[in-house]
Amino acid sequence: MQNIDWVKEFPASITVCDIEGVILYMNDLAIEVFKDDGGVSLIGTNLLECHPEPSRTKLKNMLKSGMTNTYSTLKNDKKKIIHQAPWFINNEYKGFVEIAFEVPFEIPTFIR
Amino acid sequence: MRYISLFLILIFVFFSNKSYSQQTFIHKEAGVQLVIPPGWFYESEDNNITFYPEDKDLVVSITIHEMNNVESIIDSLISDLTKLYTSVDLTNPKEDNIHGMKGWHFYGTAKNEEEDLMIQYGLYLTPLNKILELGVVASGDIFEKYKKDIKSIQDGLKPLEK
Repeated sequence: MQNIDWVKEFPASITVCDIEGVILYMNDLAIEVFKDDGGVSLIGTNLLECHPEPSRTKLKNMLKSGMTNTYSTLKNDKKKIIHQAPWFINNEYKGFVEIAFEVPFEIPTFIR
Repeated sequence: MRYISLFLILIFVFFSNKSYSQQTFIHKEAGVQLVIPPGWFYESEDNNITFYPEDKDLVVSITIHEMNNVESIIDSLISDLTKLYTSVDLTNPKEDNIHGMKGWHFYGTAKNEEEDLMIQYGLYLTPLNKILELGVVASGDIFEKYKKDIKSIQDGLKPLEK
């Protein structure tokens, strides 16, 4: 799997930031989704700077605690799952990844 | 429907799908309309609407709740604020009325890690039996900067004109 850049064109918006909230990476869909806010030029900026209260403190707490946050949104009859989780290298906490993707309204659940 | 935390709004997600300034925002399901200050933008997602100025340094959050126990909504709101901030000092909710819609408002102060904050919330019973929550949390400077705009949003909340 080494050197295979499967994330770049993966059909979910993927954004990666460091523990301070500085954006390190956006895949193609994330750049497209946030194009009105700067798209690729957002890389290197800090997420905290564009989040007024109360989101700012919530985000800060999330970055500090490293706690996963997952929720769904509904907009224009489209449902999305937003999953925000910490990422690690050699067990060292390095920041957060946000993965956002569209899902059908009804998701089958298989009890296994 | 249980209280939907306003804190679920916008976490980690940049502002997207902007709608540029309009004179009036209409929420048909709640039967209300709101004034959007000139130069402000809004986003609407599910039952959450956010109004924000060009500098994006403040958000006026509007949440539409299903008719529920207003006290429980206020309690949840205060509980969330208390978990999020320190030194939270809020007034007791006082009855209010905007353009014939009964409501309650409370305000106060709190602290985050960097600065003192001002808090202002109002909850109103809409003509179509929803509860509209309108809230702002910001530093004193930011509050002062947008004082007129915040007031115009609050004062512009009214039953939908037929």
